[in-house]
Amino acid sequence: MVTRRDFVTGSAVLGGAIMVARSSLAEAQEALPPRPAAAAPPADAVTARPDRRYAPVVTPNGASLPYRVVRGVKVFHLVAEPVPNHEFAPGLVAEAWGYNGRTPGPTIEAVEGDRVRVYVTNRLPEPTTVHWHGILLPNGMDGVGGLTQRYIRPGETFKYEFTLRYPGTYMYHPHVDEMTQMALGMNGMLVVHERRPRRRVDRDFAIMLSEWRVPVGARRPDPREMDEFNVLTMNSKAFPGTAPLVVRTGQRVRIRFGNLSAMHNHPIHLHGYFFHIVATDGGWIPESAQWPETTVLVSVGQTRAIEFVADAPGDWAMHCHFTHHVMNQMGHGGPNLVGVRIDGLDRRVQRLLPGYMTMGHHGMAGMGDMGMAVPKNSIPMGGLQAKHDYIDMGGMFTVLKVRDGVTSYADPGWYENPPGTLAREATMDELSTDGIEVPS
Amino acid sequence: MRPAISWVVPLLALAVLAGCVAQDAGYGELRSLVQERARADVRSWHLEENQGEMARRVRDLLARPLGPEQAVQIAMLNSADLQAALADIGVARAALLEASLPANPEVEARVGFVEHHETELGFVATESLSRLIFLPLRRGVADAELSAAKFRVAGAALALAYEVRVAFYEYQAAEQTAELTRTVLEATGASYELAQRLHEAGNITDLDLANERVFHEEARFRVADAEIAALARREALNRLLGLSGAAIEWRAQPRLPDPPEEDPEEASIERRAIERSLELRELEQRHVASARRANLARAEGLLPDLRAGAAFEREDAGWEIGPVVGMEVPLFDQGQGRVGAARAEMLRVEDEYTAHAVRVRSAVRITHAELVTAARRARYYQDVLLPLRRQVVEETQRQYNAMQVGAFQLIAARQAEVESGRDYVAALGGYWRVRAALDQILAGRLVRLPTGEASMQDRTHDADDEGGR
Repeated sequence: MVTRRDFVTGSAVLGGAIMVARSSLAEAQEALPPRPAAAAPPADAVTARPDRRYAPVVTPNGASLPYRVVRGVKVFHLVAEPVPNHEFAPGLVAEAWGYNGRTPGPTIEAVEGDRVRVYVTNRLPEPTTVHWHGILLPNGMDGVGGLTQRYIRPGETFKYEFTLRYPGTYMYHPHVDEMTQMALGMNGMLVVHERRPRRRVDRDFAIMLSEWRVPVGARRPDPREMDEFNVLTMNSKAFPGTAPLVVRTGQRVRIRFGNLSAMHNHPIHLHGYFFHIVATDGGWIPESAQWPETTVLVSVGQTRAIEFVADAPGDWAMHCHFTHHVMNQMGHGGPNLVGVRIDGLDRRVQRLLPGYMTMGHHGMAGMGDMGMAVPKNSIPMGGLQAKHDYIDMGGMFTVLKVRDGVTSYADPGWYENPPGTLAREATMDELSTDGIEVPS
Repeated sequence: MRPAISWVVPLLALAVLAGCVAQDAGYGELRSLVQERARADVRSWHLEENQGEMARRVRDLLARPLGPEQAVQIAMLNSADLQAALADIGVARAALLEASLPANPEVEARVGFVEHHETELGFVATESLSRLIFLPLRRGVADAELSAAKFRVAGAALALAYEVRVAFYEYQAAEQTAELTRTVLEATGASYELAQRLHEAGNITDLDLANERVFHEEARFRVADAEIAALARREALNRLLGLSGAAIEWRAQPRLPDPPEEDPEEASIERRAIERSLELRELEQRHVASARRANLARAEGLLPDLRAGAAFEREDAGWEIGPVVGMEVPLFDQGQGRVGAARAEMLRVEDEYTAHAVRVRSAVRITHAELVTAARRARYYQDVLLPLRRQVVEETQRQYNAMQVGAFQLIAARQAEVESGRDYVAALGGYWRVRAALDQILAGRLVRLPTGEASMQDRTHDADDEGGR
């Protein structure tokens, strides 16, 4: 039922954008939940009406969990199971754990007021539970193994049921042996849309932040790691494995972050914009209290939602600002070679080791691009050859691609810079005109 | 007179013929025995005419990189110790010559001064007949002793060949080991230089630098030790080969050969060792000699010194001539003592034979087993351990390329590989030493048993017999 909506200021363009967005929903990047053939809901049913009033959440590199409506209740099925051959990025594949064959697990999407029933089947080799992080529900549905329920033993299927009373960005994750199960990839986003959205967005993204330790050349993350994580991910993908967030110029964008890393908070920085932090775990922040930021700190166990209008086209980096969190499988062993004089040293060592080459004495730019033999199944310092040069970053890094006039949200390739807007080497004329003296 | 002469001449002829013993009797057989068993040509400095040719052969061999067989051949031509051992045959040959000689005739002359008469003159000449009769028996004993000496000396030559082979393998192993310690020194040197550069740039501490330097300086000691050990092995070879002066500048083939793919054949190994044993052949000859000595003693006991000859006397009436016969009457002494001694000697030799046969069989069994183990050990290094070390180096190189480990760790992995190589050289040297021992036992000479028990050589030969070990 159409109600009064609050359009964002300057919405004439946006209204059109919404129309376009609506019609392009069918082309949305991620699969939409299928519409089950439902019986007419009973009078007291509290489900969303089939015609949505919200932009469905896009989980880059992920998916949403399908559901069916049974007598007015949205029924979901989560299967907790190993996820063999999860690819973090091309060249790095791991034995992970997750839900329904994925890590993170599929995003559970529902609407404020929905009654949901989630069946959880445990196909892990150990007991598990599911905790609904941030959801207000009866204590016995909270999913804390031992405290609020008994373990879901391997092979068993449990039933959780509760009403989603408040809209917001939430998460779900195990609450038995979390150290192991979460470190191996068991987590997922849970998004509860407003029944009557007070603010419309055209693109709504959900990103789960995690950290892992995969020994270089091995295939299984080590859940006992406490300090030295070497794979940092958004939706369990490390750049260049992270799919870009594609939006059309002028669209209103919301990005929801959840952080279930073991030990680190992540200050996520977006280039090219400032945004407002519009929501926390606890709900919407009143507009006058919303913080303007270019970097949002998402601490462990928190969710944050940000919103902005994507009015500047380009390829905008979005990444955790910890410098070590944007390197893939960086090693910290070995001596620091910055500034070391190495003339003659390579030849001397090559008498013993023909394949040797000193590295790191000029810093580490381009290390991932050198084509040296590395252990199998590893991407040490790996990045991506991009349009201008080699991007020597990885990990918790992705790109917001804003383009004029896109109708498809598939990767549009690299941004074409309009003339005069690209930084390039200064010419001699420019230097002399502006009186710049370059020391020789 | 004429009747006397008629039987003296044949006897004398027999005596002359019987005294013929070739000047180099036994030498040819010794040489072919050594050639067959040790695959080397042994020469006597004193019996050979062409000394220059022997010297030239030695010089030719020294001019090219030596292998074990060349070293053995040089020793057979050039070792003064071996020449000294060859004298045994000369002594036995002389004993045969002596046994082939008839006794000297005895001549007596008498002058008698008789009052009022002509001076009496008397001559008696006798020859030992029994000595002549038993000459073949006596020769038989000496002949058997010569054969025994031949086997004994062949054994000494084999023992020298074995010692040369073992010394050669040990020398090769020592040189290879020294080379590997020099490679380790290169590795520690490269690490130390990297540490110096890091320290110079201010990236590591004085303590880190000092620790790296310790490894390097300690590696120097090991190089010095390995080089002096190789030099000592070289000198051992020089001694065995009898080399001095400019001749000690020889080069050896640099590498120990790889172990063979198959284990040595085990079928009837004990029987072969017994059949080939020169010590047992020597004991057999000594047994024959003792048996013949017993026979001789018995014969001489029954017919001790029988003499015959002629006597001439001049008395007043003229010359008196007549035959003379004499003998020792075996009334009390029929040679029982000497027969008993010879028989006891026979029994002793029989028992020694049994004891030695037991030792030979045990030695060949255990040496064969040791060889199988040594071969497997060497092959295991070749097939498993060294490739694993290589894989560690290659994977460490990859981890280094991925910047997960530093250059020190990479160089250390290479160093560990070289040290495994050193262990392999030791295993390989061990294999060839045991192989030489088994070959030696099957060639007919027992080598020292693993537990250090004395072998027959230790008991019956002098300590300066370098063989048998």
